[in-house]
Amino acid sequence: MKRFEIAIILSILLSSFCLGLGYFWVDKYHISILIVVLNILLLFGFWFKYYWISHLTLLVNSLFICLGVFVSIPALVLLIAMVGVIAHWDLIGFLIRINDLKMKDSLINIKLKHMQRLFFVLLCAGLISAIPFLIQIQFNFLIAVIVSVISVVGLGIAVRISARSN
Amino acid sequence: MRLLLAAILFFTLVLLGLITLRGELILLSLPLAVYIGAAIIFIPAAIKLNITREIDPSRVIHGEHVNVKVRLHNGGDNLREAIIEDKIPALVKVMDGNYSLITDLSPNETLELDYKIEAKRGIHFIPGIKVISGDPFGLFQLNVTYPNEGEVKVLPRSPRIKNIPVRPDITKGNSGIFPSRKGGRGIEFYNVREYQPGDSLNIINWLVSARGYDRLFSNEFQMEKTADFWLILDARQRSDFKFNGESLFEIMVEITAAIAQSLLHTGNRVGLLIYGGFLDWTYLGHGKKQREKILMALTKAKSGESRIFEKLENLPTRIFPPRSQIIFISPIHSEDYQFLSSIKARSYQVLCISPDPITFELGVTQSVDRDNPGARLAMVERRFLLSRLRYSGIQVMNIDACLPVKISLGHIPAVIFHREKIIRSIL
Repeated sequence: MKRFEIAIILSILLSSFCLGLGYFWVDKYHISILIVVLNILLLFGFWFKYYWISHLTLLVNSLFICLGVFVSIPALVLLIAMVGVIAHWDLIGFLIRINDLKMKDSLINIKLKHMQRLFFVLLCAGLISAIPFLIQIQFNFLIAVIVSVISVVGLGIAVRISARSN
Repeated sequence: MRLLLAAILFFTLVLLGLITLRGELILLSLPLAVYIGAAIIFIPAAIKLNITREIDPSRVIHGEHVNVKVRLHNGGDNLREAIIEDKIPALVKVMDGNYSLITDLSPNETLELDYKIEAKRGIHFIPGIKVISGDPFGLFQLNVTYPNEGEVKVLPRSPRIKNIPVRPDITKGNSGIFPSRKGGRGIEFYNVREYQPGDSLNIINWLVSARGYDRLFSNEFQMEKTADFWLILDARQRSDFKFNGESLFEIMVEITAAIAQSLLHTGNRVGLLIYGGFLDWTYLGHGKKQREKILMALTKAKSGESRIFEKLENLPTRIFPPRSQIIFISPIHSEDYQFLSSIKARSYQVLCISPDPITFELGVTQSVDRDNPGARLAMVERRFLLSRLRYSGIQVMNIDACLPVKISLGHIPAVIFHREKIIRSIL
């Protein structure tokens, strides 16, 4: 099996393991089993090239991550699960993009480059998000609101600029 | 779609965090924000590519390969994971090489797509090159199509055949290969006449001269001249039998091209009428230019359906001079008998070259059971139709459509010609 496929499987396993373990810790066994079953389905979907399943699992896994916050699953575990979910969604998305291409020669290189880029971005994302958890910052709610409003407005502007350039 | 999904998820997490006053939810949205932010950073400002295309050769015979080279020079920003795809028409098959790829393209870098194609008969347009670039995560995509057109002409195969089994009634002035029924220099014996001063000793008929007429007699030969030929290609939908992706029409086109080439090669004038969805005329002419015109008309030829031209009755025969030689290339249907016998009765010389649709179907479908009652009945019916045509004085060449055209047209003529001679002697 190639490195790219291994990376996809590892990311699926990472997200399902973290989420499953989180719910297991808080004694929600049935949800834990449901998550494992869902991710096994995703693995099957990936194996049989039903790549569209990845969009569905992104939404469902994100839902379980949100739910996890309310049932007091450690936020760091949920964060790792979130990174795993984004990773497999992105990697399968890449596979969808290259699915119709006839190129064979340098595909391995481009896959490796993509994995490196994704790894770097997700590492940064993980670290940025983990810092507040690790150093136990007690967020003032007002600051959280301001940060979120700024980020939402900023992202909205960026999306609009991008849409215009398209 | 991907951007929408990621954005919805991000905004949902943020909003949910705000509504429920849970800071963790807002923090959990941060990986998504970083992911989208990184995608935004990597978006190129614009795609500026200079593209050149080389098609070598741009004109081929069906079955030959064409090399296509596309050079892309990046005159803009760094393109990450750009998908570059040459738009290949539906009837073109890529045999070797890459016509689409995903790659990183730095500024001033040059990239080459090199591939081989094989196409079916026709004129194929390669409309241009599609470039999809954006961020490496596929969230923001810039989609540009460069109209870098290319054209590939795939001509029908036209194998050289030795002779066509026809003997036109009317010949032209130039020397050619068809006996003209006029005395003169030639090969075929025509008459005996009295010796005239200047006659070569080689042509004196010593046997006749020795009979004691006290005169010498010379052999006279038939002059061999060129003639005018009208080729009619049956392009009606009903004559285009298709099985397993193979089409009988392609074989008919190949036969027409081979006959036209052979006739033009010996100096004759040839015209072409493609009778199908509409009438496509190529008027009489000779030489290389005419060969080119006919080949181009055959390259574009398609079978089509028309209520007017469904039957042969609407074929405009007035354009053919009286007693002219017509070569009709068609699988022949039973309804065509009436028309063909009527034009023969109007003193046209008609040769029907008919690729056999039954053997074609059996060959293409690789039917093992060739003796099944259906096939046998169809064969009997066809044999009966062809014999009716022959008895009305029309030359018919029944061609095995499974054999290559060169072979199928190569070994029948002598038989046909002989049969024509017999019919002439009877009539």
